[in-house]
Amino acid sequence: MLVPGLLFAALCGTRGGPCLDAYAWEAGVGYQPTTQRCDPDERPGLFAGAAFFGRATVGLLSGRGGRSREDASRPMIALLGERSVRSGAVVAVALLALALHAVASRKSGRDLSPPLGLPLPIAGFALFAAVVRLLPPDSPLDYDRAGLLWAGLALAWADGVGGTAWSGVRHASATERARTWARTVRLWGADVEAAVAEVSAPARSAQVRAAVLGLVGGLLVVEGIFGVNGLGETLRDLLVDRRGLDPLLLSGVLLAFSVAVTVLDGLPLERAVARWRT
Amino acid sequence: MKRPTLAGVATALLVLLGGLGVWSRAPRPIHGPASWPSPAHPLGVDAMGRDFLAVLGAGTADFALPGLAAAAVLLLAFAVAARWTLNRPSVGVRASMPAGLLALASPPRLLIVMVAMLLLPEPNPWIAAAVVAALYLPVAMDEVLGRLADLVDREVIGGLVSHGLPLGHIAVRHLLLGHLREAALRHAAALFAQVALTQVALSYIFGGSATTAGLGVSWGMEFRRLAALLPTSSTICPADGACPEAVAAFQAGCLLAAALVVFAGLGRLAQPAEPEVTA
Repeated sequence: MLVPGLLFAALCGTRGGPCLDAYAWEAGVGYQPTTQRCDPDERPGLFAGAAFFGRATVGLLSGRGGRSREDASRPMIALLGERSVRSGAVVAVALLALALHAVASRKSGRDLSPPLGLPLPIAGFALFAAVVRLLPPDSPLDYDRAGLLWAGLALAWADGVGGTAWSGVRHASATERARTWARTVRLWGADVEAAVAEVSAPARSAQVRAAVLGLVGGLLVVEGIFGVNGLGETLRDLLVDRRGLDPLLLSGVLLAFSVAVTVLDGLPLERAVARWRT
Repeated sequence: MKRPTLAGVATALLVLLGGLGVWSRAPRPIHGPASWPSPAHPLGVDAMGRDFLAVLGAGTADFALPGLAAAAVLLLAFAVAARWTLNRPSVGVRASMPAGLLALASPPRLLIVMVAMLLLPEPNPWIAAAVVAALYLPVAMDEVLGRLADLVDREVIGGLVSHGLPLGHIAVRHLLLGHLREAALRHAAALFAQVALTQVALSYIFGGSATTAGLGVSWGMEFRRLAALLPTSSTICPADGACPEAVAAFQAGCLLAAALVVFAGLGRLAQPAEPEVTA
């Protein structure tokens, strides 16, 4: 929570744009939009930014998330929840595609991963162009209906996230396999692969964690291409609209991303990876 | 004759296109319609009336210049670490980076870069490259410091110093270009690729070139334009003259092929060598 808070405070202290006066705190419900307007060049200041973020965070975590200017008809928690679910689904599709790819690579005994993929916008638009041209408009897999699926596949394909992670995972196993202790275990006739999987688990789980984090960052691009209104698209809109930043929505999105990163850091990946032989 | 490797082809393509991009910088519109390749325009003219080879070159320079700058900083950091070790060969160096610094390298790169851009009055590709380099540096330094510590332990560094060679010469010639060469090349390629991928995404999100204000040329943006022009089942091409949709499909193919070769080659360069298993 500290990193997004510092970023938000720094943003309020270094440049104009976030209009903190556009919201007023109401006890019991959180921040509510006001009719107040700000000068776009006015800097709210470091401490005002930190205080706003702190209050918004406490509000969101205690069920008093308030309402954002973007959609004042429903609570912020509902807005963020809906978008988080969409982004989560995109990442889940990407992870599923990468997992299937890893299984196929293992079954075939060959490294099927490309060494490094295409840049996110190119991979996204290449898939988008193919979907638009190859599928009939009334197909259930049309990008309008199955945007989550295509965005997930583009995410898995782009930036070589899968390829880099897969080669890193294999390298970590191969490094342990080449060590003297592995030779000794082999000479004893014991199951060296099980020992390699156990010993290389921290290095391999770090690779997997980095890949998932890379996928989370890629949401900023693929969601826009496939029209998925998730957290990535929301943050992208906020980044592009530099003069009229919605401070409550920005706090909420930064918080949602930091929660995702914290949860991922806390997952017991090492234990899961220790049973996975590569 | 030795067969060219994917990494070699990718490097040659990068140098060629990047050099062309730096030399001609902004592709000037010819104000003609889209056309097929000709001796004057080897990859044809795009729908905006620009020589497509110049567009491809400017797009390459757009991500290659910040990438090169980041890789140069990384190599400089390695050289400083090597020189530092030579000053204190008996003391040795830290075998790894502090865990806190390594943990900093874990957040989603693109997300951090994009949020960092919010702090600036306008998006800056050099700052973006600096952020990517700062996130990557601890990981690379961790490996290099480990290798330097190993060289100290095996008394390789002590031996080199005792020969009386100038320390700068040892740091560059024997360490950076010798014992650390493989790691330095691999990490430089990996960082270059990370900066390049970030710049392409950055210029797509902010709608234009990352390095040159007002110049809307980047691989991501160009591919977006071409994807919108690709032929559909209802496309009817004129009997005379070039069909703009067919030309766009050809140019999209060229861009896709260039991107695949460049990034696959960078991936090969960034891949660590597979250790050999002894029976």
